This record gives sequence, C-alpha cells and structure tokens, in this order.
Amino acid sequence: MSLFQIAEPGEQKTKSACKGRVVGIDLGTTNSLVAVVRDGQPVCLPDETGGVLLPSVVRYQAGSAPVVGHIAKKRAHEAPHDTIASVKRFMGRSVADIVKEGTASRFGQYLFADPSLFPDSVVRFFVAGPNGRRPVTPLEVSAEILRVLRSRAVEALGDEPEGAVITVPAYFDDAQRQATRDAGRLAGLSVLRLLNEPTAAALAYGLDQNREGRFAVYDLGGGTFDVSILDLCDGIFTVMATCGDTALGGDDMDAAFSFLLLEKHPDGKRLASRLSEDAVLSRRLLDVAREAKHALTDGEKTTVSFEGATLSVSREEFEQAIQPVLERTAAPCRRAMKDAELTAKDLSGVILVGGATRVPAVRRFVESMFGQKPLCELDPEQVVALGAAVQADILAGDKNDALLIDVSPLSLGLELMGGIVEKLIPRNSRIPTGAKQVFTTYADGQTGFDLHVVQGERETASECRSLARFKLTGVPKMAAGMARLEVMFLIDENGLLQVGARELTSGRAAHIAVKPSYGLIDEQIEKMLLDSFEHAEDDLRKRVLLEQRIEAERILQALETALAQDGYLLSEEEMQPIVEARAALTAAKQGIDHRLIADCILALDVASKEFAQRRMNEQLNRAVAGKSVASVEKAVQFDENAVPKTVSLGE
Amino acid sequence: MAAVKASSSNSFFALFDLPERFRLDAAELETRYREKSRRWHPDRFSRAPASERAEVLQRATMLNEAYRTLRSDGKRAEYLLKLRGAELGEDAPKTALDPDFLMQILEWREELSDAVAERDVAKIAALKKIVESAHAQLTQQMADGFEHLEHGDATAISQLTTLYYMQRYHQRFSDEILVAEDTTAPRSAVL
Repeated sequence: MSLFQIAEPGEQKTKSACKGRVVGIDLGTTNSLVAVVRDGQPVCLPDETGGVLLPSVVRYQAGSAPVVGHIAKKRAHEAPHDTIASVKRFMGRSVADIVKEGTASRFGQYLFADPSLFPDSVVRFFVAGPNGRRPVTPLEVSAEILRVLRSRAVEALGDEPEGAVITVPAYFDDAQRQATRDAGRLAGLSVLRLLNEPTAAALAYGLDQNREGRFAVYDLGGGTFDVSILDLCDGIFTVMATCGDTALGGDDMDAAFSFLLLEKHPDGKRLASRLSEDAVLSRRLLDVAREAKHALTDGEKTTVSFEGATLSVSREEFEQAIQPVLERTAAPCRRAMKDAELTAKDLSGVILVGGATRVPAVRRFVESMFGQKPLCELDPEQVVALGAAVQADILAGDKNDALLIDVSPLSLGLELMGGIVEKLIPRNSRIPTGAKQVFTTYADGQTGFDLHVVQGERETASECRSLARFKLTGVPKMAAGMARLEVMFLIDENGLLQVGARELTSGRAAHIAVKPSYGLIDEQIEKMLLDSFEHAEDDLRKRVLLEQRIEAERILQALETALAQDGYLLSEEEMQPIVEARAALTAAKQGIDHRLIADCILALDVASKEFAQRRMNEQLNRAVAGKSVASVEKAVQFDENAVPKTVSLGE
Repeated sequence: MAAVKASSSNSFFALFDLPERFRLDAAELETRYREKSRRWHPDRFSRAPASERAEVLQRATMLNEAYRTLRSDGKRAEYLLKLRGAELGEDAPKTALDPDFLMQILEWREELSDAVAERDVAKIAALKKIVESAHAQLTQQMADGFEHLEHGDATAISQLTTLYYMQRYHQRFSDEILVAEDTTAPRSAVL
C-alpha cells in the first residue's frame, strides 16, 4: 500500500490517505457502473435521476461534445453511424478480427476509417466531428464512458477518485486488457488494477455473505460470456479455472430473437434483405426485439409492432430462438470444470452475473447444467461493480485479510520455425507467473532475434492470437551457437505481459523493441492524453499536479517511517543520496511543475532502491528466522539482472 | 547479494518448507502456498514504488512457479530428477523405451482416433479409464523409485528417468483424450 511499509500479516496498517476515495468500475458492453465502499458496504453510485446504470452508448455530434448514456441510447436510431454501442466488442481488436468475427455487421451500423491510412491495425470508427467526419478508436470511445463515471464519483466523493479498479471479462486477451487500461488513463483515472469480472462477482458475494466453498460464476453479459470456478477459503479467493467466449452474449440472443420476429413478419423476406443497408431499420428491429425480450421475462406472451405489422410472440418461441446461444455456453463451462478438476456436486453455489441471466430460460439452463439452483441475491447487473469496489478497497489497504489469486485465461506461447507454437505458460496458471526460455544464435556475429508471442490453445501460430512481435538487439557478437540468450516472459497480476532478456555468457541485458500486434503504441496514447488535456473542460493539469503532490507526500512519509525503523541498515555514506533526493522532492512539491515532481519521485525511488531491497531481505530473514535462509534467496536471485520491460503501452 | 549455493537447500520445496521428496501432501502444499501468498502477492504492495513492486512481482512469480511445479506429479518428478543430477533431454530419452510400451501407446492412439471418427463417447470414456489406471500405476512405481533414491540407492535414477519419459507419453495422450472429449461432447451436457 505505501512505500517501505511491509506489514506483518494481520498487523494493523496505518490508515492511508486514500481511504474511501477509490472506486470500482464495471465497464460493460451494454451498461457501465461505478461503485464505492461506504461503511464497509459496497454501493453503486447513482446518476441525478437515481439510476445506477449508464448505458455504454456514445453519440458523436458535429458541433458539440459527445453525449453518453440514456439520451445517446434513446436517440440511437436518429444517427446510427455516429452512435457507438457495444464498443467493448471492438476493444483491442484489429480490422481483420472484426471482419473475421462478423462483429461489425452484427453489432452496429458503423462507418470505419480507412485502415490503410494508419500505421497500426487498430479499428477506428468514422464519426461526426467538428470538421466533417473524424476517426476515433474504441479506446477513446470507452474513455468517454469512463469520464462520465469519473465525474459521477467526483460528485459523490467530493473530490477526484485517487484510484480505480476496472473490470474486464476474464477471457480478455492482452490487447483487450491493454486497451481497457489505456482508456482508463485517457479518462484521467489512475488504474490500480484490472480485475476479472467473474472474480469481482465472487468477491461481492463472498465478502457480503461470508461464504466458503467452491463456486461457479456464470457471467452472460451483453457481449461476452465467461465462466469461472473459484475457491473461497479463509478470506483467500483462488480462481481455479476460467473459460469463456469473447464474442458471445446477450446481444446474440437479441439478434437470434430478431430473426424470429422477421420470420413472423408478413413482409419479412423483403425487410431482411434491406437490413444490411438500412441502418435505422436494423437498429429499430433490435430495439423491438429487446423490448419483447424484457416483456417475456415475466409474461408468457407479448405483441410487438414493427413495420406496419403486429406480431404476437410467446415465451416458448423466444426460448426456442435463443436455445442455440445458450448451448454455446456449455462447452466453456465443461472446460472450466475440467481444468478445475471438479464435478458439479463439488460446487457450493452457482453465481449469476449479467443482465442476460435475468431471462428465465437462462436460469433453467444453468440449473440443469450444474444440477443446482443458481444464487441471485445480488442484482446480476450490479454485482461486478460492487465486487470491483471491494477489490479497490482491499488495495487501498482497508481490508487486509482478503486476498485474491487469479489465473491467466489463455496459454502463452512462442512461434517456432514452421509456425508451430511452443507453450510457455499453460492456461489457468496462477498469476503473476513467468517462464524462461534460452535461445541461441544460428549465425556467426548475429546480434539480434525476432520473436513472436501468441496467446491461445491451438497448435499453430496462425490459429492463435498474435500478441506482440519482439526484436531483441544488442546481443554481443559471438560465433554461432555461442551466445545464449535468456528471455523471460512474465504475466503480472493484471494479466498483462512483460518481457525481459539477457545474454547469459556476458550477463548483459539485451534490448527489446516491442511492436504490439494489435493496439496503439505509447506515443499515440501520449498524444491522445495531451489532446484531452488541451480540450478538457476542467483543468486537468491542476489535477495532475495535485495527484503528484499527494503521491510525493505519501512517499516522503513512508520514507520517514522506514528510516526511523530500519535506518541502521544504511551507512552514512549510503544515506547521503537518499537524503539529497528527499530534499529535492520536498522542494519540488512546493512548486507547480508536476513533471519535476514526478522526476523527483522517480529519483528518490532509484536512490532508495538498495535500501528497499535490504529492508525486504531483512523482513524476509525475520520471517524465516531459524529456517534455511538460502531457501528464500533463490527468489531474490530470480533474474535480478533482466529488468522486465513492459510490452504495455501504459505507464 | 550472496551467490546462490548449488545445493538443493534453495529448492522449490524449501520455499514452502516442505521435505524434498516425491511423496507430497497436496493439502499441506496448498496451505503453505496460501500463507506465502498472503505475504508476497503484488496486491499487498499495490501502492509501493516501482522498484519494490518489481521485486515483489519476481517473488510472487517464483512462488507460483514453484507451486505449479510441485503440484503436478510429472513436473515434480522432473524437478527432483534434475536436482539429483539426472540429464533429461527436451524430447526423447537417451535410452530407448520398452517397445511393448510404445506399441501400447500406438494402439491407444489408433483406438482414440477411431472413437473420434465414430463420435463414440462411451469408447472415449472407457479409454480414458484405462489410461488413468495405467497412469496411477506408473505414479506408484515412481513413488517407490524415489523412495529408494531417497534412501541412498543412486541406481534408482536411471529407472526413474525411464518412468519419467513413460509418464510423459501418458500425459500427452491424456491431453489428446481431453481434446477428443471436447470435440465429441454433446452440446448441452450436465457437468
């Protein structure tokens, strides 16, 4: 939680300044929510009308700022090209992905910017802007949604939130996670953690009900399906397995249902042929289908009016239409149970998440599959946001006993000669996790390598998802086969990949140039941030300055405590650089240059690195007193020379 | 920092304060893992400075790697054999495996591919049972072999190495069965 404060388990930590100022955000396909923990209870924050759901719909307009939420949703049919709904489906996806998955045609009537105009393969919507149409990335669209939630939090907290936990589907790959985190940054949020949605749901249930045992979380959201198996024991939440489908959700039920409505329509054939061109018509059809779906959640029969005809539809017909969608959720459930090495009778409960699980047919399907009635005390549309708030609260240090151990949903592999994938980290490994691989040169004097990292379960690289291509340079010139290059892959607690490398014979760290296969490079994000700084209504610079000052204050205080406790570990000579860096930061904190403060924080961090390390070792020694010290040393030694470089675009 | 000694006292076992042997109490491992994770999970240091977080990340990664290695019979055997100085190549064993054993694997493979072609779920399930029992037997043999080794019988290493490679064949075949199950499973099955 703060610098140099290593608490004994169970030891009372000093209350940090951020208490109560952290938020949990569910950035959903259909709706988004923000929640905080108040008096030990997570609650969702309402808008001015008292509702907690913010439709994840953004409407771009020629003359003014984008509109987000209910109004944008209600008026979607007026401007289908400029109203982005289901943006989550496009996060971290390439143009080729959405063509392959059919996302663009099924879930919107959007115009896309010509991909050949951009150096990367990121999807860009082509929407109304001040000077005609302009391209926006899914990341920017998501940031608009997050900004609204951020101001909702400011309203409720009386100040800027100091940190946010944002949830992602467990099955999101690296690119999709990166895009989500970057959207948070762009919206001016400090993203403490990305949290898997099913895990968040279990967290909300677990802490709320004080339950123990094994649980399945069945999460059918608007656009994604996840199933996770969790073990709750002694306040530790361990994810045993997770599985899912990033292109399956309630939207598919609506689509399937709307086909049924067309079939019933006397003029259905002609209407169907017009759908692909007529954006307004297709949007209205989906709206009608959705309304009928809601009516059939409680009622047995309903009638809808569409294109001059009144159609009567029964719940049974609706359930038949969506059955194929439900059946597609069975395979991931089976795989997750298998990975967890459990059968249905081992489960203490099944938790439902997502608006789509309100549909009675879904509940029946889940019940028959798992052989027990699912739990649904908490609102399935709020439970993820509530859990995110709980995790934010844990990270802020208020709940010390709870801990969450998550897994990486997809196997991580490396492309070998011939396009075969070698798996380095199997799916459902507990994170953080890592793998090392040693490579050698095949030509005399070779100084670099090309590596291709993929995610997925298939045998060949072309069938897996490309994550990043690396260029390793700076390998010392040696005869072929002599240089031994160790590459370390690490998946951190957010599920994001980091890579480090070093040449073993010389011990030199090799340089890694990363080209993310999908996604934006750092400079593009920087530019977006700068743009938003210039155009934002509130003074973001001032806010950044404030944040840096708070951060500086926290670090200075923590250092004070650390020196008081363990200052004896340093000689006077060693103390000198720390004292100087501390003085520099104290001075910078009084000024108004946020960059200078950030630089000084970094400088102090570097100056006190050795001290931090010694303190940790000291702690470790105390912890293992009487046991073999060497036993823990390996952990310390683990690749200390190779500084991992984040592949991510962030931070 | 002191150099790591080449002794095995800094092994994955020591990380969990567990005795360095093949037989393992899985529940005990889980308990120790939880204790260590409470202390070293990165979430415990989410607001610490970058250098400290990087340290913790390495430690937590190590912890998970150790857990993953010890939890699986095959990986634990491999790890122990390497600690004892056995040379395990990446793919093939240095000495040839028993032809009867290889023949058996080939037969199983054939049966499996037939069963998949016929979408014969029952046949796949039966095959799975057979492999599981053969695998359990092998694991028992390994456990016995390690017992000998732990009592100072160094000759057990070569026998254990052979068993280890046989075990890998089983493992790979079990993976193939899982894939076969996935491809032939009815669309909505009770779990």
